[in-house]
Amino acid sequence: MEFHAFDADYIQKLTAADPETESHFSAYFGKFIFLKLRARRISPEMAEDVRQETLLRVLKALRQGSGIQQPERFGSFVNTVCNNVLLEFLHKQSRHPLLDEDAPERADDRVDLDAPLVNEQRKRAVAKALDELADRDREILRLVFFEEMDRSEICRRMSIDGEYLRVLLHRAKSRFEAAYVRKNRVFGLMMALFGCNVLPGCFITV
Amino acid sequence: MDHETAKQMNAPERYVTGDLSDAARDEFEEHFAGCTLCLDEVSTATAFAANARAVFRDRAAAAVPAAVTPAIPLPARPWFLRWNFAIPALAAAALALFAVYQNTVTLPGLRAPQSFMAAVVLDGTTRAALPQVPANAPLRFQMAAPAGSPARIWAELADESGRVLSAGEVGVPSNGEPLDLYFPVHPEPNRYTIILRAEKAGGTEISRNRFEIIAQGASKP
Repeated sequence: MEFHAFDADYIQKLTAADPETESHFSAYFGKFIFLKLRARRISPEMAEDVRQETLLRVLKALRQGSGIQQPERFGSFVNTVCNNVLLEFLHKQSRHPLLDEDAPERADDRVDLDAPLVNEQRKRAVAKALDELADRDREILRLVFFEEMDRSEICRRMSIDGEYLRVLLHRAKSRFEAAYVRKNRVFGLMMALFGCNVLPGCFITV
Repeated sequence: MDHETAKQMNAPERYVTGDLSDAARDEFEEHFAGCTLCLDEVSTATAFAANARAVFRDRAAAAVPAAVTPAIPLPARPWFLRWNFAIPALAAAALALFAVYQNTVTLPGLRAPQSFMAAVVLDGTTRAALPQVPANAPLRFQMAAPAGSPARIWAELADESGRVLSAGEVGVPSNGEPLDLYFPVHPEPNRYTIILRAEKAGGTEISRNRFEIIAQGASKP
């Protein structure tokens, strides 16, 4: 079963500059591009540039180009445009490196990448989910997230297989989701019912 | 990649933790760009990972001071064993011991009456029998000041091996009187040499006189 949010009607409205559709397009694909580039450790500055350029090119393609032949594959189309833009930016950066060879090693920007996602309420929920785990399982997650140790090394050290690690991650993430995300989703829906301006379902704004 | 496949392989979590191959990652990106459920899953997993890192970082930071600070503090040293007290105290004690030694041994010996026998006259002549001085007698010598000596010369008392036992600068009488030397030491019976130099130790040698200290009671040859 596929969960496509996009169809011919959506593309038509976006091409016609319907404000609500434009707003959804910007929020949804802005989030997608953020997550995609974050997973590739792209700096927040470049990610923002790539996001803007990608969304602009997609809108131009819809309004000035040949349009979209397969509306149900609109997400895939945006992903392809994003890949092209990212390659161009990386190519440009490699032609004009910001740092020379003798420059000091670049600072770890992981904190900056995480910053928009971290807050006290989420940390409490994660800490609660982690504390419900056995010590050994918590140590495994510490090696994954904090030490960023290689999976095979974690499995060897903790005498587990890759499947156990995946199940453990899934379980911990599900507990976090139960403790924090669903609660906030209900809160978001309630706010929407009372007419507040929140995005239903967009419980983790990025 | 379709949604069921993504769900079965836990693709959202594996995507966030970098556990997918490049090809699988690209396929999953193409899928979740259009799948709101998977996008939310990736979003949740990303938030979980970021906050888990923050929690582990906070806990590690909180654990560091406890690891650095000993759980049971070391007992403080007594005040008299602390360096800022012990070093000056030891120096003061050493000075006090030195002063006691001077007052009980050195000074009484110097202040005590001493019989001064006649000076041994050294004339620089080399003889088979050397001038003799009884052991423990004051080492007092008279010798003619060498012609052309400076107003002050350097006198040394050396043993047979050349080791200097006593040395110092002395004034040369200007009225032609002999040079009167006293060496405040009491070496063992043996043969010794008095060396006069124009300058301090190592300077040009002016004269050399040998003598012998003999044990008390020993008969002169």
